[in-house]
Amino acid sequence: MRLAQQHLSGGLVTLAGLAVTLEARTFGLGTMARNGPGLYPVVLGVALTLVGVLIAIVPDRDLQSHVFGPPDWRGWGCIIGGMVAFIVLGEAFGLAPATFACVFIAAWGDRAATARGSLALAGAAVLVAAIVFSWALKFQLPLFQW
Amino acid sequence: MGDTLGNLVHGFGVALQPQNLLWSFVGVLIGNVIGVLPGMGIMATISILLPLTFGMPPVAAILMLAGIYYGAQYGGAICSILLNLPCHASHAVTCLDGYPMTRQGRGGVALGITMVAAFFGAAFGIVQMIFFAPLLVAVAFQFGPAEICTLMLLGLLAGATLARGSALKGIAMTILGLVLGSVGTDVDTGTARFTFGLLSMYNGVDLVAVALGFFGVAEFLKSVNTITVADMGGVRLRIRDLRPSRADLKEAAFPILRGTLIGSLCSLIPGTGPTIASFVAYAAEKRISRTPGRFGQGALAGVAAPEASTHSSVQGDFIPTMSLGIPGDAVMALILGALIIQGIQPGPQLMTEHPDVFWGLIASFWIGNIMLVILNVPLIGVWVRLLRIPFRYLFPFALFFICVGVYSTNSEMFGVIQTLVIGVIGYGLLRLGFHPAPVLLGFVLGPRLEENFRRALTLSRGDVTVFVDSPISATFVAVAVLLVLVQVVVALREKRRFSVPVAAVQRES
Repeated sequence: MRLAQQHLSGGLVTLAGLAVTLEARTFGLGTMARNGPGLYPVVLGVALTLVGVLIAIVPDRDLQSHVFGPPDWRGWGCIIGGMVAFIVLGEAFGLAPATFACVFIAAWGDRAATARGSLALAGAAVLVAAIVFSWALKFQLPLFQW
Repeated sequence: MGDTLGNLVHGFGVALQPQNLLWSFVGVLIGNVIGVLPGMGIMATISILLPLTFGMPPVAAILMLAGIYYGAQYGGAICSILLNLPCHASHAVTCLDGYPMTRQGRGGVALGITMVAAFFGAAFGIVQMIFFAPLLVAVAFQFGPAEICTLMLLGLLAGATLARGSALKGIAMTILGLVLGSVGTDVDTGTARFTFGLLSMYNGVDLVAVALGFFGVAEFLKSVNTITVADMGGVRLRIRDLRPSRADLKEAAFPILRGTLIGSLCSLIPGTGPTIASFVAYAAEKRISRTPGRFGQGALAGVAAPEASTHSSVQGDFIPTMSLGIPGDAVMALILGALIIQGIQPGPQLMTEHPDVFWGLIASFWIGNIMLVILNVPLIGVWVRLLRIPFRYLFPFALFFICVGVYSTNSEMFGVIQTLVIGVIGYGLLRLGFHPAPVLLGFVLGPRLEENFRRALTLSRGDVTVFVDSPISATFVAVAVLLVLVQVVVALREKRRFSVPVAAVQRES
């Protein structure tokens, strides 16, 4: 597990470095005296690639310090889902429905969530959205729109 | 000297303007509340409020954002001492002796001493800034593009390697931040870089999206269902419990002094912010104590020293940021980003070109810290009640604030999408052992680093030796090389020591 994590980390960084390098090469390197827009990103990309290789081969003495529990799909799903709901509903119907959905869905991420608690929380958030953001701060997104 | 005094008077004039006074009060109050609430981050709070400050005058904006940072330090200790929850990394070490004191019924005294230590540490940090920043500025005015470039590299390297976690991963995250900072239209040539043809990306990645992705969304993905509300038991606090006895004060005096000095030293080294300062102060106190066995059992020195250290380091943190334009940690990077958004170019000229911002900020530190001490005594009962709010009510609300905050920066949904993507990637990186702080350092410094890099090369007609030609920049490069060498040596030593257990682990898995 330890080794796999190290190789995965290094591998991902290396891949990112290569991608940056390849993409940056297309911007034009210029000369040393007159740098093109691509030179600096290419330097970064090459450096990132090298660091990635080093991460993969040098043992990491820090691994024991961060302990994560088992995957929490419910928590993750609800938090991400809440944000997606805000994006989709905000575009389509406005701030109030987006806020309600975002808070309501996110609240279900906690294992102790109840229907009443989540409803109350989402309702309170809509109130804040209406009074603080829409009315007091003149938020750009209208409360309701079709 | 007379000059400094005149500047300070000017600063107080600025900070005492009703509007500025109000915003710095709002800042420290929000900071204090956020510090108390378990599971809420300072970074997320500052970034959520950042868009709100766009319409404010620069001085008010900076005073408020800075107030959140040092205000949260006052609240963070409460969480550690009463709940044994390391809500904020910079107060984690205070749990060790603070919580045992609470269980012995001396929680009030621990909080009282914390306030004394906090104020003393902060005061020292501010004085240090008043005298030290002008000196740094005088030196920094000698810098050309090559020096600025190498100094930034040194700062980034120190930030990446000295902070928490693996040094190599820190460097990787710094470079990632630099790459993110280079996204958008190249200023010199107008070439679009890493925009993938998306029009919204031409202005670059949004600072608020980066900060809220890494420190908001990723942080919630990490802490959902892991933060439980601790049993407060019979903890009851009255205002009079806070008052330390004369014997307590005497016992805490020298630890406070030592902690303060350690904190102020740590603040001057980039990458070693308040968290490291508090750990060093605790370790030092335990080492020189005649009764080290008492540490962990409720030793007053174990609370006083790290708290003083944290606060002096928090104030000192502003020195390199405000005088050189080089932030030492992620919070400072965010404050620097706020300055840039306000149209204020950070760097040595900030102090002379924007004396209102610089001296106003210093004056507001005094005012803010005094407000915090006054605020915390009568409100301690309110804070204790706030501690009981479960995380499950907090994070959905905070998530909504994040969405609204990012949306309002550009009034488009694209920012929210950006934040979500950065947040998910950030959490993945977190699980792999990458810490996010260096990303923000790289992101904020990146554009200036590139600009000075290109300017230095143009001036030298493409000669790379320009970066080691002048003694100043050669010194920066030498220190950077030294930093890397020390890391390598340490790593090689540790490897020898750890090679046996690692082999054992590999066999098992």
